[in-house]
Amino acid sequence: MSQLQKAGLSTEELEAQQGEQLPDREQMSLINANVAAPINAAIALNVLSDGSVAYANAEQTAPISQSNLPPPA
Amino acid sequence: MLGEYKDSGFKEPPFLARRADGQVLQLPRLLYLVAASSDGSRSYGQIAEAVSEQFGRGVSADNVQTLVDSKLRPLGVLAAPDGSSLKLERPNPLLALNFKTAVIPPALVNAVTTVFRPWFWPLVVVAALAGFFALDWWLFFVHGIAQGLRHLVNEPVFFLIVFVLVVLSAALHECGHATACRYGGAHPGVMGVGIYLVWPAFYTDVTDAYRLGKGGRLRTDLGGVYFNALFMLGALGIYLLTHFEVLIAVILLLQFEMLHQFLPFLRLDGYYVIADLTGVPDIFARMKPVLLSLLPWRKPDSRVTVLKGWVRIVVTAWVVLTVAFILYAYGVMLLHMPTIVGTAWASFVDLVGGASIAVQHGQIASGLFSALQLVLLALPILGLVWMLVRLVQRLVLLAWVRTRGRPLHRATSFLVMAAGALLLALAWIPPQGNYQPISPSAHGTINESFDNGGAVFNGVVRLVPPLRDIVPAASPSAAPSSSAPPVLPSPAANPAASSSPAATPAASPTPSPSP
Repeated sequence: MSQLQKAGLSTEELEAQQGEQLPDREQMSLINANVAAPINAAIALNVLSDGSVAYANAEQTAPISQSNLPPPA
Repeated sequence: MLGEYKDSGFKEPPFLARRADGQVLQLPRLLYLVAASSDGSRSYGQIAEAVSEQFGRGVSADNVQTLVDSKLRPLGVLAAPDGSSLKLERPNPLLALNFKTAVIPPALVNAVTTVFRPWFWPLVVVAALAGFFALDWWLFFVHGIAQGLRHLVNEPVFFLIVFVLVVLSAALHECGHATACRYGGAHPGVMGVGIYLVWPAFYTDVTDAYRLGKGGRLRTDLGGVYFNALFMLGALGIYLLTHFEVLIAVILLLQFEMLHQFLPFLRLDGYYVIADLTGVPDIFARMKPVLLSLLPWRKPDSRVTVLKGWVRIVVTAWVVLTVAFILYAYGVMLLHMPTIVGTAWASFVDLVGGASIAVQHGQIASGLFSALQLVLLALPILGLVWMLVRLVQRLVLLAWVRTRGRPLHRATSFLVMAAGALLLALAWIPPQGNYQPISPSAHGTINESFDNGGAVFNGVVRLVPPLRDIVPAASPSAAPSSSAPPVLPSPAANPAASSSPAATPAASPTPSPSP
């Protein structure tokens, strides 16, 4: 037995040696024929209507008062 | 013995071994050296001598015996003294493929890879990638996508063609993974089918790619989408000859699928790319130690400290984002289960009606299309139910095993589970549980996804009298969910949004960048 072997490793060093099982590598391709996403994206980009124009989302922010009184003469 | 795990993200590179049953093991260098030196004829002393020389430190015969008995034999790396091997269970990792069925044997897969091998020659790759970028430029800046989609929307029978081409492209994606694996010098295993979470899926076993270097592993990861790009170039070639606009819609759909594949939070190609870039073969297995190491009062786990500094940062960021993603995706899915069921049921009734009318009028193609959609609608629902059953099984088993001999812990964990079940019951029982299909007014925004959560929370608070006064939000008026108001008993007119089964949340309950 060599001098090197005689020294040996401590219990802690031996305990720290841990092997682990690796999961199988299963590379997948999902079968997802959902055409809704590209169509929705196209609608959002406004490409599916003829002569399409951008959608304007104008908001009424000024106050509007309403009454039954006749307009001043 | 497969050798060193190359380009690893560990301070000390680990080694790989493969058991007789195909299971790959990650071993520290010392265990690997002992296993590699154990040829069945050497004594412990002789093994110790050989290992000491290679390891550079003294390893005694007793050390070797301890490592063999307490580490290598329980892992199944070495046989017992009588020659028998332990029958060990294969790990069932988190978010793995279910209902796996092998379809194509390894010999045939290898034959297929021989045919496709030239597609990985460097010049061919460069030309194909240039072609793909040119395709995208032409598609989005010159030709446009409107006509392709218009043909699809106006003629639902074209959906059958699209479906067939999508399946073909998915099959080719698998050939890409297998060929890339083989090109790097590893041996791909079987190809098969299964259900991943809620999606039907093809898969290829490329476990042997663990033995490759970083470049080879990344080639294996990206080989699938590379072959999708080749498929698109082929579709473009046919389009240029025939001007069949539906092919443009197919190309667009496949581009969305490519983006989906790069989602890094599920075991899709994006996840493997991150694992291989960092050089950590199973990042999912490190979720718990990484999270525990984030607690300031805990000493960092050794499974985290073994990683290189930059790898530890990337893995921690990935774990935090993935946990947030999974909790949100599962939480929203469970919370909105009534709407998912309602929408799926409405689609089911609609499809059965459509199929029977089509068959009565002799429209075989339309009837087949509806029948196919029924199958595609049923698969995600089955996947969803299976996922929930497995989740409950795992939680109950885990709580039972981990709390053995600790009645207080056991009672607490089961109380927590009972509270979770109560929350779900509240979310699923009307009035909170709204079994109407998704309304046209629902946007499905993240804000909206929490609406039902408030209603369920209020329901819980109302059940506990002392909390009624403390939490002012606990008013019954907040109960109905605004995400799914009771409107429209039938699906919308747009065939893409109404009759495509994948348009239901059951098919894509997770907020992913593609369908």
